[in-house]
Amino acid sequence: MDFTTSLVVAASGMRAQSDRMKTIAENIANASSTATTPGGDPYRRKISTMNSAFDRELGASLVTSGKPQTDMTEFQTKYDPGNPNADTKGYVKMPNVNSLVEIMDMRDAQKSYEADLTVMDASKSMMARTVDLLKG
Amino acid sequence: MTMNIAEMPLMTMLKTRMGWLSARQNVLSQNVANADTPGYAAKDLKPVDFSAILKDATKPAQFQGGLATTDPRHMSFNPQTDPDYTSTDSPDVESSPSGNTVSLEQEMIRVSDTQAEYQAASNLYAKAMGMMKTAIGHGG
Repeated sequence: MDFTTSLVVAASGMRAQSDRMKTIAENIANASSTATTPGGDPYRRKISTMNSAFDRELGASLVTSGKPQTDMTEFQTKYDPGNPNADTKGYVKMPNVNSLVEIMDMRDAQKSYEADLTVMDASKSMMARTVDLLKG
Repeated sequence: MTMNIAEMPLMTMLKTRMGWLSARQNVLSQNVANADTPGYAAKDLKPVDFSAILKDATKPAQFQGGLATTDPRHMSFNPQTDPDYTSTDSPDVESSPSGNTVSLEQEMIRVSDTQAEYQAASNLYAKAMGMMKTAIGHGG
Protein backbone atom coordinates (compact mmCIF):
# COMPACT_ATOMS: atom_id res chain seq x y z
CA MET A 1 0.00 0.00 0.00
CA ASP A 2 1.96 2.93 -1.26
CA PHE A 3 0.20 6.20 -0.75
CA THR A 4 3.26 8.39 -1.14
CA THR A 5 2.71 8.47 -4.89
CA SER A 6 -0.73 9.99 -4.51
CA LEU A 7 0.62 12.51 -2.00
CA VAL A 8 3.40 13.56 -4.39
CA VAL A 9 0.98 13.84 -7.31
CA ALA A 10 -1.50 15.89 -5.28
CA ALA A 11 1.34 18.15 -4.14
CA SER A 12 2.44 18.73 -7.74
CA GLY A 13 -1.12 19.74 -8.59
CA MET A 14 -1.20 22.17 -5.70
CA ARG A 15 2.11 23.68 -6.75
CA ALA A 16 0.85 24.18 -10.31
CA GLN A 17 -2.33 25.80 -9.00
CA SER A 18 -0.40 28.20 -6.78
CA ASP A 19 1.78 29.16 -9.76
CA ARG A 20 -1.41 29.86 -11.65
CA MET A 21 -2.63 31.94 -8.73
CA LYS A 22 0.59 33.96 -8.92
CA THR A 23 -0.04 34.80 -12.58
CA ILE A 24 -3.64 35.78 -11.80
CA ALA A 25 -2.48 38.01 -8.95
CA GLU A 26 0.02 39.64 -11.32
CA ASN A 27 -2.76 40.35 -13.81
CA ILE A 28 -5.12 41.80 -11.22
CA ALA A 29 -2.41 43.91 -9.62
CA ASN A 30 -1.40 45.30 -12.99
CA ALA A 31 -4.97 45.88 -14.22
CA SER A 32 -4.27 49.61 -14.57
CA SER A 33 -0.53 49.65 -15.23
CA THR A 34 -0.09 51.93 -18.23
CA ALA A 35 3.03 52.43 -20.29
CA THR A 36 5.85 54.57 -19.02
CA THR A 37 6.25 56.38 -22.33
CA PRO A 38 3.49 58.34 -24.12
CA GLY A 39 1.66 56.10 -26.60
CA GLY A 40 3.57 53.00 -25.46
CA ASP A 41 2.14 49.58 -24.71
CA PRO A 42 0.78 48.98 -21.21
CA TYR A 43 0.95 45.72 -19.19
CA ARG A 44 -0.04 42.70 -21.25
CA ARG A 45 -2.15 40.02 -19.61
CA LYS A 46 -0.39 36.74 -18.86
CA ILE A 47 -1.97 33.30 -19.18
CA SER A 48 -0.67 30.46 -17.03
CA THR A 49 -0.12 27.10 -18.70
CA MET A 50 -0.08 23.58 -17.31
CA ASN A 51 1.45 20.40 -18.64
CA SER A 52 1.19 16.82 -17.57
CA ALA A 53 4.56 15.10 -17.37
CA PHE A 54 4.95 11.39 -16.76
CA ASP A 55 7.42 10.71 -13.96
CA ARG A 56 9.12 7.41 -14.75
CA GLU A 57 10.49 6.91 -11.26
CA LEU A 58 7.14 7.52 -9.64
CA GLY A 59 5.11 5.85 -12.37
CA ALA A 60 2.54 8.64 -12.36
CA SER A 61 1.67 11.80 -14.26
CA LEU A 62 2.79 14.89 -12.39
CA VAL A 63 1.64 18.40 -13.19
CA THR A 64 4.10 21.08 -14.10
CA SER A 65 3.30 24.70 -14.79
CA GLY A 66 4.77 25.92 -18.05
CA LYS A 67 6.02 29.37 -18.95
CA PRO A 68 3.20 31.92 -18.79
CA GLN A 69 2.05 32.97 -22.25
CA THR A 70 1.02 36.51 -23.12
CA ASP A 71 -2.50 37.35 -24.13
CA MET A 72 -2.28 39.03 -27.56
CA THR A 73 -5.77 40.54 -27.59
CA GLU A 74 -6.24 44.26 -28.26
CA PHE A 75 -5.64 46.82 -25.55
CA GLN A 76 -8.50 48.96 -24.37
CA THR A 77 -8.15 52.71 -24.81
CA LYS A 78 -9.32 55.37 -22.43
CA TYR A 79 -9.73 59.05 -23.25
CA ASP A 80 -7.60 60.82 -20.68
CA PRO A 81 -5.76 63.78 -22.26
CA GLY A 82 -4.34 64.90 -18.93
CA ASN A 83 -2.46 61.63 -18.50
CA PRO A 84 1.28 62.02 -19.16
CA ASN A 85 1.21 58.71 -21.08
CA ALA A 86 -1.59 59.74 -23.46
CA ASP A 87 -0.89 59.75 -27.19
CA THR A 88 -1.30 62.85 -29.38
CA LYS A 89 -5.09 62.37 -29.60
CA GLY A 90 -5.41 62.10 -25.83
CA TYR A 91 -5.98 58.36 -25.58
CA VAL A 92 -4.21 56.12 -23.07
CA LYS A 93 -3.80 52.39 -23.77
CA MET A 94 -5.03 50.29 -20.86
CA PRO A 95 -3.98 46.69 -20.14
CA ASN A 96 -6.07 43.90 -21.73
CA VAL A 97 -6.96 42.59 -18.28
CA ASN A 98 -10.59 41.87 -17.50
CA SER A 99 -10.95 41.67 -13.74
CA LEU A 100 -14.08 39.57 -14.05
CA VAL A 101 -12.23 36.93 -16.08
CA GLU A 102 -9.37 36.96 -13.59
CA ILE A 103 -11.71 36.48 -10.63
CA MET A 104 -13.38 33.51 -12.33
CA ASP A 105 -9.97 32.04 -13.12
CA MET A 106 -9.00 32.52 -9.50
CA ARG A 107 -12.11 30.69 -8.30
CA ASP A 108 -11.27 27.83 -10.65
CA ALA A 109 -7.70 27.61 -9.34
CA GLN A 110 -9.02 27.65 -5.79
CA LYS A 111 -11.47 24.85 -6.55
CA SER A 112 -8.74 22.66 -8.04
CA TYR A 113 -6.41 23.40 -5.14
CA GLU A 114 -9.07 22.36 -2.66
CA ALA A 115 -9.71 19.16 -4.61
CA ASP A 116 -6.01 18.30 -4.41
CA LEU A 117 -6.13 18.97 -0.69
CA THR A 118 -9.10 16.63 -0.31
CA VAL A 119 -7.24 13.86 -2.12
CA MET A 120 -4.27 14.43 0.13
CA ASP A 121 -6.46 14.19 3.23
CA ALA A 122 -8.03 10.97 1.97
CA SER A 123 -4.63 9.40 1.25
CA LYS A 124 -3.37 10.45 4.64
CA SER A 125 -6.31 8.92 6.46
CA MET A 126 -5.90 5.68 4.47
CA MET A 127 -2.23 5.66 5.41
CA ALA A 128 -3.17 6.15 9.06
CA ARG A 129 -5.59 3.22 8.80
CA THR A 130 -2.80 0.97 7.62
CA VAL A 131 -0.59 2.09 10.47
CA ASP A 132 -3.46 1.45 12.88
CA LEU A 133 -3.40 -2.22 11.89
CA LEU A 134 -0.08 -2.49 13.68
CA LYS A 135 -1.66 -1.34 16.93
CA GLY A 136 -3.93 -4.33 17.29
CA MET B 1 -0.63 -29.03 8.70
CA THR B 2 1.08 -25.70 9.03
CA MET B 3 -0.93 -22.59 8.62
CA ASN B 4 0.48 -19.24 7.74
CA ILE B 5 -1.89 -16.55 8.95
CA ALA B 6 -0.74 -14.05 6.35
CA GLU B 7 -1.47 -16.52 3.57
CA MET B 8 -4.97 -17.40 4.65
CA PRO B 9 -7.52 -16.77 1.91
CA LEU B 10 -9.29 -14.08 3.93
CA MET B 11 -6.06 -12.23 4.63
CA THR B 12 -4.76 -12.44 1.07
CA MET B 13 -8.11 -11.26 -0.22
CA LEU B 14 -8.13 -8.27 2.08
CA LYS B 15 -4.55 -7.52 1.16
CA THR B 16 -5.40 -7.63 -2.53
CA ARG B 17 -8.39 -5.42 -1.93
CA MET B 18 -6.33 -2.87 -0.03
CA GLY B 19 -3.57 -2.97 -2.63
CA TRP B 20 -6.09 -2.38 -5.39
CA LEU B 21 -7.71 0.49 -3.50
CA SER B 22 -4.37 2.19 -2.87
CA ALA B 23 -3.45 1.80 -6.55
CA ARG B 24 -6.79 3.36 -7.42
CA GLN B 25 -6.15 6.23 -5.05
CA ASN B 26 -2.90 6.90 -6.93
CA VAL B 27 -4.75 7.00 -10.25
CA LEU B 28 -7.45 9.28 -8.85
CA SER B 29 -4.87 11.68 -7.43
CA GLN B 30 -3.39 11.99 -10.92
CA ASN B 31 -6.81 12.82 -12.31
CA VAL B 32 -7.42 15.52 -9.74
CA ALA B 33 -3.94 17.01 -10.09
CA ASN B 34 -4.35 17.13 -13.87
CA ALA B 35 -7.86 18.59 -13.68
CA ASP B 36 -6.70 21.72 -15.53
CA THR B 37 -4.15 20.17 -17.89
CA PRO B 38 -5.28 20.57 -21.52
CA GLY B 39 -5.85 17.28 -23.30
CA TYR B 40 -5.59 15.10 -20.20
CA ALA B 41 -7.94 12.10 -20.21
CA ALA B 42 -9.33 10.89 -16.88
CA LYS B 43 -8.21 7.41 -15.92
CA ASP B 44 -9.51 4.72 -13.62
CA LEU B 45 -8.48 1.20 -12.68
CA LYS B 46 -10.18 -1.73 -14.27
CA PRO B 47 -12.43 -3.16 -11.58
CA VAL B 48 -11.22 -6.46 -10.17
CA ASP B 49 -13.87 -9.13 -9.88
CA PHE B 50 -13.63 -9.72 -6.16
CA SER B 51 -16.65 -12.01 -6.06
CA ALA B 52 -14.84 -14.42 -8.38
CA ILE B 53 -11.82 -14.32 -6.08
CA LEU B 54 -14.12 -14.99 -3.15
CA LYS B 55 -15.66 -17.98 -4.90
CA ASP B 56 -12.20 -19.35 -5.55
CA ALA B 57 -11.02 -18.62 -2.05
CA THR B 58 -13.85 -20.47 -0.37
CA LYS B 59 -13.28 -23.69 -2.29
CA PRO B 60 -12.22 -26.18 0.40
CA ALA B 61 -9.46 -27.63 -1.77
CA GLN B 62 -7.77 -24.29 -2.04
CA PHE B 63 -7.06 -23.76 1.64
CA GLN B 64 -3.65 -25.31 1.53
CA GLY B 65 -1.83 -23.39 -1.17
CA GLY B 66 -2.63 -20.27 -3.09
CA LEU B 67 -5.64 -19.68 -5.24
CA ALA B 68 -6.42 -21.64 -8.36
CA THR B 69 -5.82 -19.68 -11.53
CA THR B 70 -8.15 -21.03 -14.15
CA ASP B 71 -8.12 -17.92 -16.25
CA PRO B 72 -5.21 -15.75 -17.40
CA ARG B 73 -6.93 -12.76 -15.88
CA HIS B 74 -6.83 -14.25 -12.41
CA MET B 75 -4.48 -12.47 -10.11
CA SER B 76 -1.54 -14.16 -8.56
CA PHE B 77 -1.35 -14.06 -4.80
CA ASN B 78 2.33 -14.68 -4.73
CA PRO B 79 3.60 -11.94 -2.44
CA GLN B 80 6.83 -11.71 -4.42
CA THR B 81 5.14 -10.57 -7.61
CA ASP B 82 3.62 -7.16 -7.46
CA PRO B 83 0.18 -7.24 -9.04
CA ASP B 84 -0.01 -5.05 -12.09
CA TYR B 85 -3.05 -2.82 -12.00
CA THR B 86 -3.38 -1.18 -15.35
CA SER B 87 -5.29 2.02 -15.61
CA THR B 88 -7.56 2.70 -18.53
CA ASP B 89 -8.98 5.91 -19.87
CA SER B 90 -12.38 6.49 -18.38
CA PRO B 91 -13.61 9.93 -19.36
CA ASP B 92 -15.95 11.59 -16.92
CA VAL B 93 -19.31 12.83 -18.12
CA GLU B 94 -18.19 16.31 -19.03
CA SER B 95 -15.24 17.46 -21.04
CA SER B 96 -13.91 20.97 -21.29
CA PRO B 97 -13.04 22.77 -24.55
CA SER B 98 -9.37 22.13 -23.82
CA GLY B 99 -9.94 18.39 -24.24
CA ASN B 100 -9.68 17.63 -20.53
CA THR B 101 -12.14 14.97 -19.41
CA VAL B 102 -11.76 15.25 -15.64
CA SER B 103 -14.83 16.19 -13.62
CA LEU B 104 -13.67 17.19 -10.15
CA GLU B 105 -17.05 16.34 -8.62
CA GLN B 106 -16.96 12.82 -9.98
CA GLU B 107 -13.37 12.38 -8.85
CA MET B 108 -14.28 13.53 -5.34
CA ILE B 109 -16.99 10.88 -5.20
CA ARG B 110 -14.52 8.23 -6.34
CA VAL B 111 -11.93 9.36 -3.79
CA SER B 112 -14.38 9.19 -0.89
CA ASP B 113 -15.65 5.82 -2.17
CA THR B 114 -12.13 4.47 -2.23
CA GLN B 115 -11.44 5.84 1.21
CA ALA B 116 -14.58 4.27 2.70
CA GLU B 117 -13.86 0.92 1.08
CA TYR B 118 -10.30 1.02 2.33
CA GLN B 119 -11.56 1.65 5.85
CA ALA B 120 -13.92 -1.28 5.54
CA ALA B 121 -11.14 -3.58 4.34
CA SER B 122 -8.70 -2.49 7.04
CA ASN B 123 -11.37 -2.88 9.72
CA LEU B 124 -12.08 -6.39 8.50
CA TYR B 125 -8.37 -7.14 8.54
CA ALA B 126 -8.10 -5.93 12.13
CA LYS B 127 -11.19 -7.96 13.11
CA ALA B 128 -9.81 -11.11 11.50
CA MET B 129 -6.51 -10.60 13.27
CA GLY B 130 -8.39 -10.15 16.54
CA MET B 131 -10.20 -13.43 15.97
CA MET B 132 -6.86 -15.15 15.36
CA LYS B 133 -5.59 -13.76 18.64
CA THR B 134 -8.67 -15.04 20.42
CA ALA B 135 -8.02 -18.45 18.92
CA ILE B 136 -4.44 -18.54 20.15
CA GLY B 137 -5.54 -17.36 23.57
CA HIS B 138 -4.31 -13.79 23.77
CA GLY B 139 -7.74 -12.27 23.94
CA GLY B 140 -9.35 -10.06 21.28
